[in-house]
Amino acid sequence: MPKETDPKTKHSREAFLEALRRGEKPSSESQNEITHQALLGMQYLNPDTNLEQFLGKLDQKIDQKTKRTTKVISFWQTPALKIAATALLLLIPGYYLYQSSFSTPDYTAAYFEHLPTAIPGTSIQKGGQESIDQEKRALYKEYNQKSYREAIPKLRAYLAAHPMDDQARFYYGIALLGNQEAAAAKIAFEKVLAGSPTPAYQENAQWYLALSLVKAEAFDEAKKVLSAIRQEKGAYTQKASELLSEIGQ
Amino acid sequence: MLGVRQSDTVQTDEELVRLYQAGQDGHFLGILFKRHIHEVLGNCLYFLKNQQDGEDACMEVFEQVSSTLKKNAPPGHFRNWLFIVTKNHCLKRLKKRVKERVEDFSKINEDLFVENDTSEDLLMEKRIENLAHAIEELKEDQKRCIVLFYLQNKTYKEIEALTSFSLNQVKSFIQNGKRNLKTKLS
Repeated sequence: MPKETDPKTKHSREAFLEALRRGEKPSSESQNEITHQALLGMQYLNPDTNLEQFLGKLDQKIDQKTKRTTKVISFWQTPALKIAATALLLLIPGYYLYQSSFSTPDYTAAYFEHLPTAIPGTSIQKGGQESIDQEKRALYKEYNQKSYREAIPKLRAYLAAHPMDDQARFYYGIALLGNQEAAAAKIAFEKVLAGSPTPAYQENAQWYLALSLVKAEAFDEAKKVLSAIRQEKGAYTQKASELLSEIGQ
Repeated sequence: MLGVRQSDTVQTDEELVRLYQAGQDGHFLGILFKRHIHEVLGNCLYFLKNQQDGEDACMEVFEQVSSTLKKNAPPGHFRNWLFIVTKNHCLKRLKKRVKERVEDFSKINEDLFVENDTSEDLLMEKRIENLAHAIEELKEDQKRCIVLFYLQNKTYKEIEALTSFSLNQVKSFIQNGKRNLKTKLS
């Protein structure tokens, strides 16, 4: 959902998502053509795409694009404000010069996505498998709720006892990145890449490693990883190309 | 008023357009576009039948809307206009995509790729639109194979790997799908 709470956005989006959740076949009789086609179009989303998160990502892209054109309105109408504004205008360039020497835009904001764990919510299997699933569900509970701050110490403690568990280390890395701890996330993903024979974690970890590097402003290193992803023609190729162009490759 | 954004109250689409045009304030454009983005995305997906293309098209529509509204107000309701822009943009992309398989796909409708003057162009876009609708009416297995083969440029082998169909089934679904499309479009 967008940062500003626009009730109309909230309402129309919720109604749309609810119609999709109900899983009813779109009916052009009860919907207008625009909604009807939009609901039909959702069948072409990749099966692993969470629509709500996907829309959130698009919201972020729009926010980034509209930020640069934002102006303040009705600013020059009062003489006192004119004086204040003039003083402010003199201060702003200095402030931005100061800021620009310490900060760069967060290029990863539009690219970071929470990856849900693949642990089933409920299990119909009997015996040992169910207890394993229960343990895993407990381990990833905070992570799956996107409460990264709480998930991090829990996963860290688990990894101390199970250092070879690449799955846990992978999600630990995402939690760290989600909690803005890019340097620690980088180390986690590097360890996953060094040890994991699982292709899924390799591909995903490589992408999240690239995001960690960009976030940590290690742009030269990030460009190498992103270029490698771009050449592999995998799930992250397109995103890697976009991110490369954004950071100036 | 200093520091108070006018977005604190709920504006209609048309009011947001006016606010954007009055101050060129991207904030209002952002609210406006995000209000409809789920339906823009859905329509892009409906026409392009592929997530990556749909996402790209969605952002391109935003850029187009942004630059058009800087100069002109939309005629009539914003939402209706937005979806005309979306549809036209997608049809242009779709035309380009389908052309990559022109030799084969044009057999469905030989007039599909005749390019002459503007009226012919419009006619072709109408045909492309009809094609997009007709694909939706195919049986699920035929639709899946047609979309993968023609709109995502997958090979028979790739489709076999991406679906549970055998190579012969893939070929058959594409053949039958093509025949059915021809019937629907004739």
